[in-house]
Amino acid sequence: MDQDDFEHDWVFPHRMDVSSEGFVFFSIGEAADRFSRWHVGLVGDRTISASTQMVVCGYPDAGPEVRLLVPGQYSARAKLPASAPTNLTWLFPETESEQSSQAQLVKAIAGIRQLVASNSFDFLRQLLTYVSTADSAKPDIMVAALRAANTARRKIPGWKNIIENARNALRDRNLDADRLLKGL
Amino acid sequence: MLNRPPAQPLNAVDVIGLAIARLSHGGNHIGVIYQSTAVGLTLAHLAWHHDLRFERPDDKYIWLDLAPLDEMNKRVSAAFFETLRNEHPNIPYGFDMRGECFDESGNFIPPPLGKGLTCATFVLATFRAHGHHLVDEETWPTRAEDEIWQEQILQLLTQSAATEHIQALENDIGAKRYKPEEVAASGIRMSTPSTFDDIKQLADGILRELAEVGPWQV
Repeated sequence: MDQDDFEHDWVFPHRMDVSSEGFVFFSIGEAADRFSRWHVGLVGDRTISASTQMVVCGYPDAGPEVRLLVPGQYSARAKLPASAPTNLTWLFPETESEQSSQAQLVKAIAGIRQLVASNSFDFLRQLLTYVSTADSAKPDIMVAALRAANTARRKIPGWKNIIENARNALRDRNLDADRLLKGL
Repeated sequence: MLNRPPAQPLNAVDVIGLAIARLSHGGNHIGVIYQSTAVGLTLAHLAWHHDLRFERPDDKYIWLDLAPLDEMNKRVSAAFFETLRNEHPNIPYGFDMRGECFDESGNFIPPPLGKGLTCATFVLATFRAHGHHLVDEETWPTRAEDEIWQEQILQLLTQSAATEHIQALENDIGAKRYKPEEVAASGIRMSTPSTFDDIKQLADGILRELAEVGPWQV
């Protein structure tokens, strides 16, 4: 497999989001084996998993499309479903404050609702699993995202595990996890 | 427990709370007050049939902070109401709040003919949608006095609702009623969900305070 394999347009089979922080969150579903194998070959010693972070050298420049570059490796382009949100800034807002603003919370809620409305339940599972454990996730955004997804809890695979992970993560931050997540 | 303007202004609410007022016809009305960073202090309330409002509250409301919610969930809940303000769903008036009122993506589900919410069940249903169960609905009684109230509301609705809605709503005479003062009382208790027995005395206390404030001409 050489570089050329990755330089032509490649229709990405799954949802992918790009945050302004410069990493890509991959949603790998049941048809992901092909993708995983490709990128294991592409990046050599890097293991690609559902939440692998990669450096992004470019942002969508032609509709729902991103260009990826792993430094020192190859570049590739991936097309996104037109309806997919193309970034995750709504879930990882950039702010120095420990508290998210109301506008940031509203955006997080709206983003989760948009994913529910598009029936992206497997992606939601991965996203919420990531958010509920990532060090970079703010607790209030985590709580807002989980509560926004509450109405779809029966359709999100592994909902109880997601909540349990979130509970542990909040406890690790010395927060009253049981009260914060009560009712979920 | 309860705060009464102007000594305790509504704007002093800790991010989000409940506000209740006595109306001129003798009934009570409840809504959610919250701090909107976009438009300031806001009262979210189902004023009437297809009349969900987000507006600055009047000083005739007495109010309370939401004791069951911690600081973070207060901010998150206020954001939910802000989302609702942006969406501004069209909610009919109805007596029977059983079943889900919001779909999986959090949008209000247009209910079948005759179904809808009251001002009090609007509060319960919106909090319930994001996991805050203020009351244990199973413990609520059906009361003969509630049927009388429902009949009166039905008469009032004939002036503003479609005949088909009124006819279908007649089938729900006798449905469980969650009174505004009972919902307000559930916001006083730290523990949720509140049973009917938990809040009965608190609700009576709220009624006494409302009687002191007097009715609000609307």
